[in-house]
Amino acid sequence: MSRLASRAELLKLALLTGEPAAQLDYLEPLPSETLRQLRIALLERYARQQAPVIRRLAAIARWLPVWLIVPLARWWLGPALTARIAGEMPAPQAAAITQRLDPAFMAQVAAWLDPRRARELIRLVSVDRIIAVAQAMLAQRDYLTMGRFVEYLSDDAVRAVAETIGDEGELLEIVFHVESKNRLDHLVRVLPPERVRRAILLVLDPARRPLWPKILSLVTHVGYVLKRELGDLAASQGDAVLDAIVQAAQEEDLWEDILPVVTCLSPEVQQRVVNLEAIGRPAVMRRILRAADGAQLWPELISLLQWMNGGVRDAVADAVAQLPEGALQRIAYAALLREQWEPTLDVVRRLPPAQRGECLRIVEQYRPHADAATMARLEQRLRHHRLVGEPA
Amino acid sequence: MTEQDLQRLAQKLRRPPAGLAPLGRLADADFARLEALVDRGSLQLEARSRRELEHALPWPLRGLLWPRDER
Repeated sequence: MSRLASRAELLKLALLTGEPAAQLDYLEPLPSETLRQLRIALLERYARQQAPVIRRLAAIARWLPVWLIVPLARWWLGPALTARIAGEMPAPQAAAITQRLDPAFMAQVAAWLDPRRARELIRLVSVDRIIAVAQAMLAQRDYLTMGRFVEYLSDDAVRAVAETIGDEGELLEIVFHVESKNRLDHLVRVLPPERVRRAILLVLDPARRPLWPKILSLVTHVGYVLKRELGDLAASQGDAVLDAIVQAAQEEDLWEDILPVVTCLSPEVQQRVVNLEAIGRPAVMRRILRAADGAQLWPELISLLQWMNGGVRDAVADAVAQLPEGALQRIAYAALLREQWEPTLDVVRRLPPAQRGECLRIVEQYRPHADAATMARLEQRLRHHRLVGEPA
Repeated sequence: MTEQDLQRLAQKLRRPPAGLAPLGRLADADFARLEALVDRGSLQLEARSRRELEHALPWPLRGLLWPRDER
């Protein structure tokens, strides 16, 4: 589950319902797909309103010449009705109309158009026209609508529009609102690598602070291979970039999005990230562990323990001691799943005595269920860390 | 929030209740806020649709294309 994807969905829901986004904060813990379903259900409800009369208007429009429809749409129907009627018209005719409509008006129509129902129309609109409408949307800073449409555009159109956008910050704003995150990899590959690099480096610019969540959203929602590529790219720019990403994740409380990204990085970069001075700070580590506990990310966190130096493991132990009851059970289960007993027990030995005892009781509970080889390895590691005495 | 609450909301949204199951994580008060938001949002969108059509269709056309029983 991604908090960032939920935030992007809430902005769309706020726009549709006219509710201030800040008043929808209570919905942020919900999965983005559920929020999307809510929004689409409301949009479909709107589309069903007075549907027979919309269909009648579309039937009439089919018989009118394009030169007449254009002023009628612009001055009589308005953007929302035009979008609804366009959705009921044959795509080639609707595409012919878009060639004549003013791009600024088209941009307003697009805000009301459901791109899922207008695939054919989008495919028929010329690239020049798409660029003109995109420019009008940019002038309005309507990144949300651009993000909704971008996944339905051809690669040529995406490339051509991206070339006209000089600022990588605007690209990030658009990408933040792309709905099908599984298309993101392809979109990123369509862009020149240098622009992607510049987009990530915006995290170093304090003046672009509002873009931080969007940068994190980009690295969070791409696939495994691209996560590693982008993460390695960020790391190759120096620790300043990694520190800035840590600061962004901390300030935006986005560790549940970022932790899975860290585990996708190359081992060398994972090691650099987890041993950053900022990661070992108590406030940061507390938030990281709270995210791991709340979002069932202990397997990911446990796999990172192996790269942490002693100082950072001390910080982990301090933060574990402040987790709610039951967290030790969940940590132990993740260690069992990942067979990561060595670094886990090295953290356990740093815990206060009461919690060390609790950990040993949890391990004992596994004895009847775990196979003999696993238990033997576990006991050996417990002795190694002097968590239990040598057998008599 | 009860099963009936979720079913009622799913009915309003014309969605299968299973697809909305994660809403069960919301506290009762938050679920009530969400339901109010859905009601308010639906009313607003309905009113908007009606307003736009009324604005676009002068009365002779309105009678022809938008019979009273469909309004």
